[in-house]
Amino acid sequence: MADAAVEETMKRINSHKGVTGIIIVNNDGIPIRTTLDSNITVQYAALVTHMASKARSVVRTLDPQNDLVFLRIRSKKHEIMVAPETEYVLIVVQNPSAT
Amino acid sequence: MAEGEGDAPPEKAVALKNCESIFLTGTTVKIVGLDDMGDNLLMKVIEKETILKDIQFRGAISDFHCIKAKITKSDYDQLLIRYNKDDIYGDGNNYELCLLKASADAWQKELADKEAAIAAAAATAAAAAEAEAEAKSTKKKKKRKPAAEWVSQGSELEIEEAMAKPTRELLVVSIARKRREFGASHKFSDKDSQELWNSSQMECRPFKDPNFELKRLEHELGIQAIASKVLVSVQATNNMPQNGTTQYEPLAMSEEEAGTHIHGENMDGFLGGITDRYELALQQNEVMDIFEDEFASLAEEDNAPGTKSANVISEYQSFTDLTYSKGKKVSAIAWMPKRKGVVGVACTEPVTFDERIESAGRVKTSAILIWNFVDPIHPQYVLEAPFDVFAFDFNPKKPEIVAGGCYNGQIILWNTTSVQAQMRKKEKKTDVDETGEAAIPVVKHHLLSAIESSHTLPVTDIIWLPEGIEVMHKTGKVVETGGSSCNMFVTLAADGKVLFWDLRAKKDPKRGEIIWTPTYSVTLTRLDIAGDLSAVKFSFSTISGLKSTFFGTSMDGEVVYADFLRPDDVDHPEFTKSVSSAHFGPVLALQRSPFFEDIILSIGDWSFKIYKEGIATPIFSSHCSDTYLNTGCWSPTRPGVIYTAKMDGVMEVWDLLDRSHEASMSATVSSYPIAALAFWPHKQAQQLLAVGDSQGVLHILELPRNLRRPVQNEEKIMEKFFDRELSRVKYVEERQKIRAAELKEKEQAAQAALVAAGASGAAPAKEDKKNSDDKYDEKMEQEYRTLEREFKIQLGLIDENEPMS
Repeated sequence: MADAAVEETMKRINSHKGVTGIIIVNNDGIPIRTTLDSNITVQYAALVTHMASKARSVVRTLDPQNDLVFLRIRSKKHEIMVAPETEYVLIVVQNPSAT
Repeated sequence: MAEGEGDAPPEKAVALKNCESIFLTGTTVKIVGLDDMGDNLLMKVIEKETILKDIQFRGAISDFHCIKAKITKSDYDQLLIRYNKDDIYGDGNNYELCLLKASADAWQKELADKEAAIAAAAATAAAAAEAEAEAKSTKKKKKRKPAAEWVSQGSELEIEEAMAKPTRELLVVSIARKRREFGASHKFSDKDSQELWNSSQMECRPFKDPNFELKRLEHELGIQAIASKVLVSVQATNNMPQNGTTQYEPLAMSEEEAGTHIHGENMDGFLGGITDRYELALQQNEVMDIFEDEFASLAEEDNAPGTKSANVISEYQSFTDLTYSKGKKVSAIAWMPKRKGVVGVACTEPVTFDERIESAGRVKTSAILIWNFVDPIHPQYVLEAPFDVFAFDFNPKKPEIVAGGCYNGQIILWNTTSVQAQMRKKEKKTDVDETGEAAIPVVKHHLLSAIESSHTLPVTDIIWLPEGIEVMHKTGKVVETGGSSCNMFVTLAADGKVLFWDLRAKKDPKRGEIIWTPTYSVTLTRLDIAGDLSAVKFSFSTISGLKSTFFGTSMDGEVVYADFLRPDDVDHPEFTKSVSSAHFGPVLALQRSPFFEDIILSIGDWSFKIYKEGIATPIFSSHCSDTYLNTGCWSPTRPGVIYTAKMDGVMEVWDLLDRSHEASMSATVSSYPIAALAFWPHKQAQQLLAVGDSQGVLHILELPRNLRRPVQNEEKIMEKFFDRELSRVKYVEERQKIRAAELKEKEQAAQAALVAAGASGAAPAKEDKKNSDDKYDEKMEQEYRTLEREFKIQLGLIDENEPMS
């Protein structure tokens, strides 16, 4: 079932070391599925989708044949990874120095 | 209406009969006298005679020659000649001559007519114009007013006045003079004008002509220019700020929708596609932190070859004075706060108690020398005291106030403001060195405490309380006054008393002088052992406010933990809370670690020990050195470094990170025992350590970089070290308990066995044991005997047949 696959994927990603949370967002920025609490989820969804679309527009403006594949935002405390697709966006937050 | 001037178009006219058109040249015109003819004089009369004369004179070249016959034939004499400007005959001739009187008359008439016509035309034209103008005005008003009679308005009077009219007739004056008087000879002579004016010869004297007596009047005129002010009022609409709020909610998706999305096939494809990327990224992060700043986390290399110089403690300067400090022992060193390079040294006589008693009667003075780095030979100034000062310190807020404790237990106070001012003036005044010994300023003590209420034994330690904190009078409560001056200090002496003194001693109204008594006093005892604590040093916790608990050390090697707060209910409270015997001899130094508030270093006899507040046993004790340790302290910048000073003049550096079983570095400071150590409290690039020895020399040592700069995470490492030691101590305690319990158990078991076996049983049991032991012994003895015998037989010492003994 597709459901199982979804669950499995999420579990796999979650099992990596330091992963704080995962959010699946549709292309409007409305969160579909999340492992974080709702306030943070809403904020991440709204802000990160804007960022991703901006990044995508940068890439495409420079070369219209190109497209954004993956976006990683590294901050002092953690790293936000965004994979935008046409319909959905997956956001993963990881703390890389979690020992 | 008239038709204007009536310039008829030049038509080719035909000459009248008997009129001849001729061409006259300029010369002819002149000769004949026709040159005034022109536009304004078209016709002129000319005598026939003149023309005939001309013909006669000039002959064929005369212009009139061609019409000579006709001229002679003409019937009248006054020939009329007409100027033909426009060439009306078209033959290029410019004059016309009329030969017949009738034609002449006709011409005249013609001319008159023309003129009349012109005049008429002009008149009609004028009339026409007038009529036109009138017609215009009649458009406005139908009726035309008849021209009024001129009525005099008085204007002709003005005109009359303005006119210049002769008021009288013109006079005719006739002057006659005889002719012979003209042209007479004359004689001129000079005469002075002055004479002239005054002499009677001058008929015309100068006189004031009122006409010329015009006074120039100055007219004062002021002009002020100001901007014209206009009062304008504007009404503005009052935009009142209004609070506006917006309430918003994030867009959310309902559960079902979310469900449909998740279960849709797109989701599957999406996740399948991107998972690989995520895996890569996440794994990358796990493997290595690529943004880590390697340089920042690079450990410091302290053993690099070739940088030996950075590791050596070097002597920066040394101070000694022949008069004051030669041969004396340095008892205490204190750096002056806020000033760079000023350090005070208390010099005391290195004499024993007996010698002191011998010389007790004599008056002696002792001195605290204040050295400035600027001048290594002469101390800046000297604080004089009647007794040997064993402990002193500068007021951290006002370095001019110096408090010290004397040999006899009195507290002494100096105020050096005047000397400091003097110093400053001297610095400013001259750079020239004065020849000879400049007198070193001596400051006498400002205040001595009252003997009855001071200590009874020499004062060994003195500490200023941090700013704004004071201790209450009877209860010893710590009060934060919030001020910014340090007013109180605490002293400790071998009599076990801890006295709190206040700077602001009041004048006793009765005696008129200041009697200085301590504000509060605490006596420390030795708890289990009777007697007062013969205290040597103490240490307060001064980091956050002032805790009332403190540590003290004694001459008997004890480290006590005490509280100076007097509890309300107890009459004779026991201030000492706990005592731990740390050292075998007097504990000569006690200091809290500047990094860890509850770690205390104590130095005495041959070793130093580190204590943690609350634990009686030391968590770390060092290896014993070969000579006594006199004093020591923590490094102010490195949490794991301890400096100790020994009796043989060597200063040791213990780096607990490096090795803890022996000193990491040692420096020979002097050949005499070191008596005092003090760090310059100023944290700067240069770290200076003042070391005083027992010959009165003050050495200033400069510490190398590796002793100044802490190793990375040193504090954490030291913390762990202490924790480990602490856990070791705890473990040992635990084990001791366990072992004690075990021992008890064993004994109990033994007892029980004893009891169980009964009295009889107990003895045989014991005997049994004994017997078994004996038996065993005998057995072994036998074996040995047989062995010996065999051996002897082999050697041939004993005969085989001899019986065994």
